[in-house]
Amino acid sequence: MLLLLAMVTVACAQTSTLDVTRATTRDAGAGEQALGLDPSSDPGEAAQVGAGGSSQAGSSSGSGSAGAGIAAPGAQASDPTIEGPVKIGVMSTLSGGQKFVGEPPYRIALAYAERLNAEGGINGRRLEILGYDVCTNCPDEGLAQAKKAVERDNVFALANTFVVNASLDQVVPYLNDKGVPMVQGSSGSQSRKPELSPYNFSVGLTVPGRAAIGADYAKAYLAKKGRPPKVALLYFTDALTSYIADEQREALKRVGLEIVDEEAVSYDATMTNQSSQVVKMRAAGAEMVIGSHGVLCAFNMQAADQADWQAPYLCTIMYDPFTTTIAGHSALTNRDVFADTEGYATQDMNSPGMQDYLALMRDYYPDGDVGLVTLYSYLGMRLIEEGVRSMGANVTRAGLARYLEGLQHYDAGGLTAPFTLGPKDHGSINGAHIVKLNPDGTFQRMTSDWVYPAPIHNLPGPVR
Amino acid sequence: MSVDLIWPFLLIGLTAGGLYSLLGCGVVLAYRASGYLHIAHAGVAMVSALAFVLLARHMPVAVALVLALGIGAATSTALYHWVFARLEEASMAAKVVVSVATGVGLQAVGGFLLINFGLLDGGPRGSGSLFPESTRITIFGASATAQQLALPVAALLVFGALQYLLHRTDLGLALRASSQNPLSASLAGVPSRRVTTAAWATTGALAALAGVLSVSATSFLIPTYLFAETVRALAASLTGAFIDLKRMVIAAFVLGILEQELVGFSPPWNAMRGALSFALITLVAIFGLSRQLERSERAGAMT
Repeated sequence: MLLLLAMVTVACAQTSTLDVTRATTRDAGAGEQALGLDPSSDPGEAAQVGAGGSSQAGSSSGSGSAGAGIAAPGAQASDPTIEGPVKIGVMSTLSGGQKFVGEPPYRIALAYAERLNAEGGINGRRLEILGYDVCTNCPDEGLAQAKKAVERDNVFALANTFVVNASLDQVVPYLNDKGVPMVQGSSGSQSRKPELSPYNFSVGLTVPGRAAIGADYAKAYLAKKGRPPKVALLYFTDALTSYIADEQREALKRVGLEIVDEEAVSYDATMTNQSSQVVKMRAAGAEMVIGSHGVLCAFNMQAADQADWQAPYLCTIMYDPFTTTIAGHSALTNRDVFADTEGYATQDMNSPGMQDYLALMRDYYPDGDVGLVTLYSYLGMRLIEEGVRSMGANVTRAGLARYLEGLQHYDAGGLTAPFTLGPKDHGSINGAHIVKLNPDGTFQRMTSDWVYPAPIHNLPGPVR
Repeated sequence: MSVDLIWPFLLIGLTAGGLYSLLGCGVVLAYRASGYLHIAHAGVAMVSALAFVLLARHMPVAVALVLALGIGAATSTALYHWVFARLEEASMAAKVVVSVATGVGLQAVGGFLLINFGLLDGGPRGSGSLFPESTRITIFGASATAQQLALPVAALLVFGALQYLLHRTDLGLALRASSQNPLSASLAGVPSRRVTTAAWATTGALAALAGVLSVSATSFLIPTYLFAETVRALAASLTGAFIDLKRMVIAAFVLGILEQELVGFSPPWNAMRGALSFALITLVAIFGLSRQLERSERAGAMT
């Protein structure tokens, strides 16, 4: 169960590298005949053949506009205008012991649709949510359910699939073939090669951005405290989290922080006992621990607390009550613990987007947790709604993909940092807040506005 | 790896080894009592630890500990009477399958209880801790908490008690006789079923002790709690063909220490402590196993 939670939180930050690999093979030829979707063409019309194409600026409010070049094999041949309700499929773990992590993305989609339909739907259309039960790491089941969604139920798009991210390695190329958009609600390695899976979109803080912002903050924190710029890097050995660690390692080096110790921890029960890792990091002279995963950091902090080592921590994917409980009140009282966040824990900003999200949770999903999973899911549904709305009567799958790819400086009412998508970037957010974990499990925002990677990292952004 | 780290790692390894050893004592006792590879041992430990955490919220921890030990003993005894005793004549393969299935069943029950009691994450840290969290003991410059050090101390005490029980008491003699030849033992007046039941109850209490001590040190619970540790206990027990307590205890501590010493190496080796240590102990077991089994068969499943 613990590993499952860990996997899910990783999935929240990443898109499986397998997705990319499979898509690369599958779409190698398709990429050469990429269809440039003319920004000036009416949504829903057949795509025009052309080169990649560049993104077009959106409206001043941040809405997306058509205009990106995406490979869409098969899409133009079977992309009729959608009639009747807009069916959105949610593939997630909806039964069994893993239901508690898979149900929230489905429930928030239902909640969003219920509220939207009560207000008249989208241009008079109802939004219909269909759930598909997929276990967290079942690629065959994922593909079977995707086929059911597309071929039997004729869903318009898939959304909020990030919980079953590991089950999507065959789904991504299948959806590309069918031209069915998927808004995953996560970001990661996929975002670096979006052209390989043109209908696969993610909504979340990118890993390079996450790593760079963390490195910048760690450097500033140690300098402010007058401590030597020496850190320890703590990470899981699985492929997904190792990717985060790779980016963190490079980002730390770029800002001049010395990594005096690296602790790789296997993805098994040994993670719960990290006393030896703490002894080693301490002996190496680490002044701060940089972690690639919240659960891992929580157990490490627990061990640090037992060893009376009060080093500060900065960990990604840390904003989860589960991690706070593992670490314990004492561990959080005796040290500074920081995390990055693309939205959750910034409730105090009182932005319209955050208020709308919180209102949806309060009125339509009161038993749900306000947090990372539901926030991602809300944003995914919001993007689909706005994409469909922008197409008027001519609602097509390719039109939604065009809308998403054309998002420029998109601002979901302050819910997250503004972000831009395009043919070269299907993973979205590069700005974040740094928050400090309080011993009672709450968060304290340490940054007054969204922070972006420093220029030294040479990453996209900041978006102004 | 720095020489300075060897001793601190060794101290930490003793705590891990103590846990494996404590679990292994239950595994060996169950095997000696009725020839079962008690894979469900982790499930009993988990259920008992869960009971302890819940009880400790409403009563002194000492009372909760005693009750948790009782719950462990009762659970184990119930498993024996309702499941294992009905398969005494079954093949070892069948017994293993049933033992695995029982363990999975206990995990499911534990998962249900954890969710419904809101304890999936172990509940508030500190609740149900046997020692104050700040109790830290320093030995030759390396420190550990009282919770951590309680594990190896308890393991050695249990080992000594079991050795005495098995080799110096009438109950131990009766247990050995019953497991060697139940029919002959019964004809000789040994209440075999009662003796075996007592052994299974003790096994359950040992599982509970391991669960309670461990949850006191980590303050978190999941359905698969202590399953990986029980697998290591099984590996350690293998070195003694599941009958030699002394070998099991030594192997368990060596395993625990080696796992921690491996952390001293650079990536990716420092992440291999589970796999490499397990492989090492398995190799030792394979090379020594046939001779051990041969000996145990000659001795009638007893040494």
